[in-house]
Amino acid sequence: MSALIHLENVHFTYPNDSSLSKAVLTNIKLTIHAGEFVALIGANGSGKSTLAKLLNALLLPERGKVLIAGMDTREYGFHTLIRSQVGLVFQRPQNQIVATTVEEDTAFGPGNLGLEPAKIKARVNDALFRTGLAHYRQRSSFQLSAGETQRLALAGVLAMQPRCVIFDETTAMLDPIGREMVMAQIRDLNRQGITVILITHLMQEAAFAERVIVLHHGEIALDDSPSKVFSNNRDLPALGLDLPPATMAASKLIRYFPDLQPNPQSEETLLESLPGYSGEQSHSRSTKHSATSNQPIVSIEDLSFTYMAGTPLAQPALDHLNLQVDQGKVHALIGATGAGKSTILQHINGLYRPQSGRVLVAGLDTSDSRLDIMALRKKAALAFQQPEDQIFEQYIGDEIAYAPRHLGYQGRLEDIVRSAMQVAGLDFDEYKDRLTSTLSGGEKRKVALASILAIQADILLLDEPLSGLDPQASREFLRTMDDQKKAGRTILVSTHQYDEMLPLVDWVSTIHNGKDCLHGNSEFVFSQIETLEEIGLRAPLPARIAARLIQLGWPIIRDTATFTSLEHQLASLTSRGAV
Amino acid sequence: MSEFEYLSKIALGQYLPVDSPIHRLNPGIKLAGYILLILAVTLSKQLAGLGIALIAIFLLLLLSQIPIPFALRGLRSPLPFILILAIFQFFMISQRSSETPFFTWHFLRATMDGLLSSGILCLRFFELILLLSAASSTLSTLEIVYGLDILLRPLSWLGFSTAQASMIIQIMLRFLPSLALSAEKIAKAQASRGAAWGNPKAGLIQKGRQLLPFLVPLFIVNLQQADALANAMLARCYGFNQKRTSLTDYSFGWNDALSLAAVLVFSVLIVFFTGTRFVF
Repeated sequence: MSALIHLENVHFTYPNDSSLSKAVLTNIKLTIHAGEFVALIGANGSGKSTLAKLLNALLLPERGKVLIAGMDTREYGFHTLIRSQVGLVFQRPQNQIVATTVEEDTAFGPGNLGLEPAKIKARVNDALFRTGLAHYRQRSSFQLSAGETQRLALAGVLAMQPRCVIFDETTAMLDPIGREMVMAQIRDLNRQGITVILITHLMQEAAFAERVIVLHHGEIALDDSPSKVFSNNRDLPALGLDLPPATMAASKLIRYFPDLQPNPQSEETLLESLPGYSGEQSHSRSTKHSATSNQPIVSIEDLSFTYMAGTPLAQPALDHLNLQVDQGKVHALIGATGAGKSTILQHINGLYRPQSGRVLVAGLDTSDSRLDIMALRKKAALAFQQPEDQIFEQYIGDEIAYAPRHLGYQGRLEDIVRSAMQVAGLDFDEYKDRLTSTLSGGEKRKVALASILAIQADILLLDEPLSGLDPQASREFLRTMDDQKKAGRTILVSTHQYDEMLPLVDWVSTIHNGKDCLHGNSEFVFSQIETLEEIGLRAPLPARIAARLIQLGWPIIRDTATFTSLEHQLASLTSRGAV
Repeated sequence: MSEFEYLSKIALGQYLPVDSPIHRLNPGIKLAGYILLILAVTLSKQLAGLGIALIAIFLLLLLSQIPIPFALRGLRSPLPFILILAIFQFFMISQRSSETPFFTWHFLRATMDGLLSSGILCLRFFELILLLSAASSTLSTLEIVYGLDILLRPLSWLGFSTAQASMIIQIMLRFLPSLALSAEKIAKAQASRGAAWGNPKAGLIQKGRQLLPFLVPLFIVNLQQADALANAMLARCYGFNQKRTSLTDYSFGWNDALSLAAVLVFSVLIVFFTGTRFVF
């Protein structure tokens, strides 16, 4: 194997950036051979994206050398060749689309290479076929779904016929099935001989690679096979990382099944290695779940909503939806991308008014023309998807004080801001006068959270709060959510990352095509593996482990979806000498 | 009700991907045709000429399969300004007219001249906006780029970089919908934290005061997006080759010749026809 990518003592700092004056990358030595599948992981701000841009000659090293197939990136004359050989798929696919139609966008790269129309056509055909977009040729590029936009971004890179493709957190905005499709595609590309570098926050994705490189504060902390990196689990939390869910599950289950392999490569391997049951036979039981008797604080009745109504681009989002949220509970909305989850949240906050049907929030009817909208917004605070994009003040203190200033508040403004920042994990004196533009991704997310908490609303509406957060930041966020729940707040959260959120969630509504098609307590909903799969969702790992155990004859309760209840049952079963 | 759907309020910058005879034309011809018609409508002084333009435009919309309500959507936001202009025009012309007024009140006079001229003003704006809507629905951004490339080709002999100029326009057009989307996001983020957006009870002054803290982040967000796009373009080898090539080999056919002829005839009629005779 020849070295496709070779880095010698590379140092890099962003120029003219006084706030981030320390080196972003220091002394990177790295060789990647043609055909390898490498995962690049590390906490937010550890330098992963910077490294990706160095490999594509978008950035040039300050010291040291970056060689791509022997070509030094500092030689300007090599840039066309380097960039056509090392393709880069960025974090936000919608920011990479140049043209208005799918076909023309795919042709942008080959056009830049100055190829003849016939050759461009052949490459475009090939790239669209490989990404499954062949039927979308003439489709307008900003009318695509998130997953399709993602595939278009990849098609644009594949049309350059690269030897290596770098995926920079490509799956962060996708639902679980969309993520799996992208991952399958990535593995396919690698099998066809293309070198793949995958940057990700999801450890289960990293586990698919042949080699895992961990960046920490701009240095390579670990560089080894996934099984070695993830068996070294004491170092991982310090690096802001986690174990892949399968490994974490194995470490929990090994107490009951001592023969289990401690480091399964994937969730499938883990499920297949579970042992059969040899204890006394009894039928697997199921529990009854009663509807909660609590008073609903949000009640949605027969709500329908269409985007761009009355235009050729009209798109139905909600279809006679009924939904109730009980006071003091954590209620999760799950469903594939585009199912209507964000639309529901924005109705509760009064950003959208019902086109038909009714939305009642703490006694306020949002279709009432005399509705006091400020009162509604004080009751239900909404944090948007990618909230860091929606920070609009210059100083953090002002950003957080915005809501109390405009909605009215009781007590001293400073106290409100201070306590909101404290809850969100930001030190008041250190952060209040800092510029919002100098924050890292994780810090921005905290500021966005604090600015919502400052409203002191009874209901928190959170739209995909975990997307793009590294494992450590996710854990901190979940802790904050738990505190809010204990303080008696009602939380309605839409999420694709329900595995992480599982222990917190009381009630789940599954949204499909703008309808609530399955709801109940989280143990019930998440154990309906087939129903979830039909609407494009994957049940959480503990639920799939429980189902597999039931299949193997273990007398496990059917509605088992959390590790807590699974471990509880296994403890009593295995102590009876069942294994 | 969705006061935040800014995207639905702009018809400009939205390509309608249908396969119509107009869509299939050579982009150079399409672009030249739209420019000619827009010039003709702007220069026309006669009601009759503008009447012919109206016929031409509806014929165009029909041929290109653009739903009329969709084309009219772009009219919604400039309408108040056009009406105010028309009222000014009405009184200005009436004031200067030597005709006997059909209505007077204090110093204000209303004459048929004034009515006619403000009517022409309204009609002209109406037609211009329809033409722009039709242009952006039938010309994809890359077609505009190729169209400009074809039309400006003679200038490249003088050392003018036509490829770069057309790319600038392409990016501008591509950003229109995304500008609307990010405006929507910021307005929503502010509204949900107590800003007056979407609050029917808020007064005009309150809404005006919201404008600056809205425009600044909009500007910043779009700069960041532009930066990301520039990176993506560079990563796909933009900027090395002086001569970009394209997917489609645009040739010049009979349809193109016929359309160009039709546009020329219409343009001459629009500018010079007064109803009974030509004025030169």
